[in-house]
Amino acid sequence: MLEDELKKTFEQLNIQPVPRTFGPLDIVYRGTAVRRRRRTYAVAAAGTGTAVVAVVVAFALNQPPDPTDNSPAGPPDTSTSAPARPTTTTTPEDATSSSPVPPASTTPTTDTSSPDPTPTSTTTVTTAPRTTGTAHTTARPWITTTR
Amino acid sequence: MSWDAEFTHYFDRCADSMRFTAFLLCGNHHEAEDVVQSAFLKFYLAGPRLAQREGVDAYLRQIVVRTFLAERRRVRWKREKLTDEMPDVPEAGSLSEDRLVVWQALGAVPAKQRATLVLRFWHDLGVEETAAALGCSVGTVKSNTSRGLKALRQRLGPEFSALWQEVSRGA
Repeated sequence: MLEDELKKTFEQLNIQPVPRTFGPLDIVYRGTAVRRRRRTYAVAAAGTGTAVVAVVVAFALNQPPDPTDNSPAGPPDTSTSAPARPTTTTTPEDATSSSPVPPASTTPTTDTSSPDPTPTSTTTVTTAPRTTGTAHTTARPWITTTR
Repeated sequence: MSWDAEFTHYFDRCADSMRFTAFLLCGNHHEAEDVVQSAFLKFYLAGPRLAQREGVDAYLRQIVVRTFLAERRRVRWKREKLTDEMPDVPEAGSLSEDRLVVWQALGAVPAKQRATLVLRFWHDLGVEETAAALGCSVGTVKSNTSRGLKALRQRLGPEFSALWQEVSRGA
């Protein structure tokens, strides 16, 4: 069997001991040096990390005000205590109904070129054209008769 | 007892065994010395943190095997070139001719399979113990053992088995 041959080969190789080239003191010496180096690296890395974090925090907390911001100072924001305003949404229909243009009936007519024969229901004063001479003006201002 | 004194005690007790294990794994004494030295250094650095000191032999063997495998993985990034031609072959004189053939054929087996063969047939470890030492599953140990023996047979050739049967009959 190959397994048995392997075992016998290994046993035959183990007969002749080979002299040691290093002892436990060499390992201890090297181990101490490695430990010292690791400790030095750890201290240096921790110091560097702390300094970097301190610099980043200092920069983050000491941000200068924005020079391009020219908005005037206002009252302190009280939006948290003040009640919210109702919002008005204007639909197109509302916009037409609440438009500032008055209705046509209330618009004072100031037509002076030609008298309007159709009576209107308005009672506002109109500036009817006055005729010079013996012109008689009736009470109704929009009807002017000349005798 | 300080850790340094304890380490010296462990070193005196286990150094020869570990050096021979490393020699079987590496195939030459020079590389074996490097592997054992690295393994003992790791053991020295990790020693103060060891919770229990009962299984130090198994722990040291595990460090040696894993250091060997790590060195083999790192070979391609190294500047040194490993060659098959040894400058000196002191171990050849102690072997008979057929065992020397087996020893040289073992050098062609891949590292992990070779480590499995050494742990199984030199240290007489079971499959579970070998798996624990190599950090792999039991199935991997079985397949590595089978493949390692197959590679060894292929390397030795069909003539070797016939010769080995004759030698066995003559003995």
